[in-house]
Amino acid sequence: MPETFEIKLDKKEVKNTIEDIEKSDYYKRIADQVKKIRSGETNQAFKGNADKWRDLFHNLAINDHDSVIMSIMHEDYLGYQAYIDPIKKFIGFHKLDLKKTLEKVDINSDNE
Amino acid sequence: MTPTSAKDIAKLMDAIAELERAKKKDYEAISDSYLALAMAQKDLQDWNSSIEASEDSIKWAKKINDKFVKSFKISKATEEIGSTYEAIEEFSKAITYYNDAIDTLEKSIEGLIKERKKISEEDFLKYSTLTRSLYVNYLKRKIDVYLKTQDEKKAKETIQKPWQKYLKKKDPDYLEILTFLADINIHFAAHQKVKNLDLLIYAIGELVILEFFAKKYSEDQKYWSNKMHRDLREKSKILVETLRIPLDEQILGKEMLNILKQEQLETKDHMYIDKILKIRSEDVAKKNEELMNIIDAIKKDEAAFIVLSMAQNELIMSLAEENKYNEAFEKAKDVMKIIKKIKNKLVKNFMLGETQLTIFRVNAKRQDWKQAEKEVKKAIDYFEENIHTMCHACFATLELASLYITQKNLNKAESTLEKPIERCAELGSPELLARLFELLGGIKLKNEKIDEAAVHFGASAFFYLIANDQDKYREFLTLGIHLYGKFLESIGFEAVQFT
Repeated sequence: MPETFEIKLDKKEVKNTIEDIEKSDYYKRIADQVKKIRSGETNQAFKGNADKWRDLFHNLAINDHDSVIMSIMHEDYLGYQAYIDPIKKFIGFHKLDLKKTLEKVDINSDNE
Repeated sequence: MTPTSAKDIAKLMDAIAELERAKKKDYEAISDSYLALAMAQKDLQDWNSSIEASEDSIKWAKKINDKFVKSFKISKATEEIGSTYEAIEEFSKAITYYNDAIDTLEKSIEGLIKERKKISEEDFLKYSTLTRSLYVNYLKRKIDVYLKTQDEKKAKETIQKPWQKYLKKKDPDYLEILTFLADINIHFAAHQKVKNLDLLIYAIGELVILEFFAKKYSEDQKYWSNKMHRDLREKSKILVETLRIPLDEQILGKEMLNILKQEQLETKDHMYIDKILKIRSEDVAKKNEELMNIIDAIKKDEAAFIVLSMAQNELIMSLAEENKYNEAFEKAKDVMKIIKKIKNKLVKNFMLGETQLTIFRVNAKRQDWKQAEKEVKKAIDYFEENIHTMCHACFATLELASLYITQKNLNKAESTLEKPIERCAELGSPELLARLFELLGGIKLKNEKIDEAAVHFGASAFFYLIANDQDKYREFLTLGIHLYGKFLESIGFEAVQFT
């Protein structure tokens, strides 16, 4: 056996192989399972209340934050209210549900 | 598409020969056929023949009577020569031809706008749509060459020069072109070697606002309505992808759960958290009384300190709402003592941060700005102790910045926002981004930079839309549009009436 040996890696090939694995059904199945176990653990820790609490804590914190910002910035915004209605009428807003469009974006949101 | 073969070339040449032999020559058809031949030869990598065919296409296009048709046929063939040079990586020659094609189209655009009243509405729409779409396309090609050759300065100038030129016209007829240029700015920001996030967000904010003005002044309002709706989806998608925004993340709630997970909470703790959340989310008439009862029960049951401190924090804010400030500050001293009993450092720091934030809010409510500033800074420090409560730190920082805005200390407000700006890309919270750009807009507004204020509000509206806060999306988009209208008016455009 030689004293030294060398492993030659084709970086591109390694990258492609990793990408292939990530795209494979097997990998996706495992990733889904891991995600389920993790969220299951969280749910278990909060006795099934995890999602409800997460949403409540989040929304209440946002409301508290906005109440400070709004009370501080209120005067500035107030002056513009009179101009806003005609623009709103011209635009003719309707509810825009972006959820489907945005859900197609592949984001790894599991940072827990 | 099947690849081009020598047979196809022969067929095209036969067709051209026949067209050229005809007594009454169809110049448009001959020019188009030479252009098709040039493209086919480029496909076969016969570069010289391709360039010759394009030159023939230009030669025949020059004989066309209709000046608008003539100019876009000439520019198409000129661009084809540029793209051949781009294919063989002769970039400076490519740029020369792209410039010629763009110049021809710019003259055509100006001619169309000048002669708008002399041309039928149908013809105007047909010519202007085609000319503008070629113009946008060629500008993008030119930018791509500059990006390939890593000349970002020139790429930027490619947009800025026509932007300045058309803005100076002070003519609403040029608003459609300006809108397209805002769209190209997005292309530029997204394709730079290192994605230019600031420019990307700014350009998207500007585009969505300008589209409303384009719609207002266009002959083709339907086109702009459709484009606007398509862009709201497409550009939101770009922001979500680029900033890696996780949807339905509810990041502040997630951070709170991660803190609670550190403690071994028992069933009784869960019950009290549920009760606290219920009181907070409902408008309870006797809030103080209920909270005091819960606090007594928590103490009696010896529930976790974190739960007790959560209830105490609620009571502090509730007392402040009734202007009972002294009582609120007394309770704040109590809660600090309780938090010090929490053993886990992460939990302790988090609750200290939460309490400092509550005390800040009480001080802000009674307009003791100096004290408020001290308290919120402490809150930020506590949240920053733990990487997993960074979003809480950022939100608290936004509150500090808004405090500086109130005190008209705009430079300090702007520099305070630097940290959340740096962190927003890694946190990816649309709620944070929306409020960050809202505050940046507020600062620009106070600095009387109304165009920048408008665009920041436009960007804020986009993030509110991504966070599915429809009311705020509408509020800030309309605010942005109103301000941009004022900006256009200030540089000489006629006042925009929306009624």
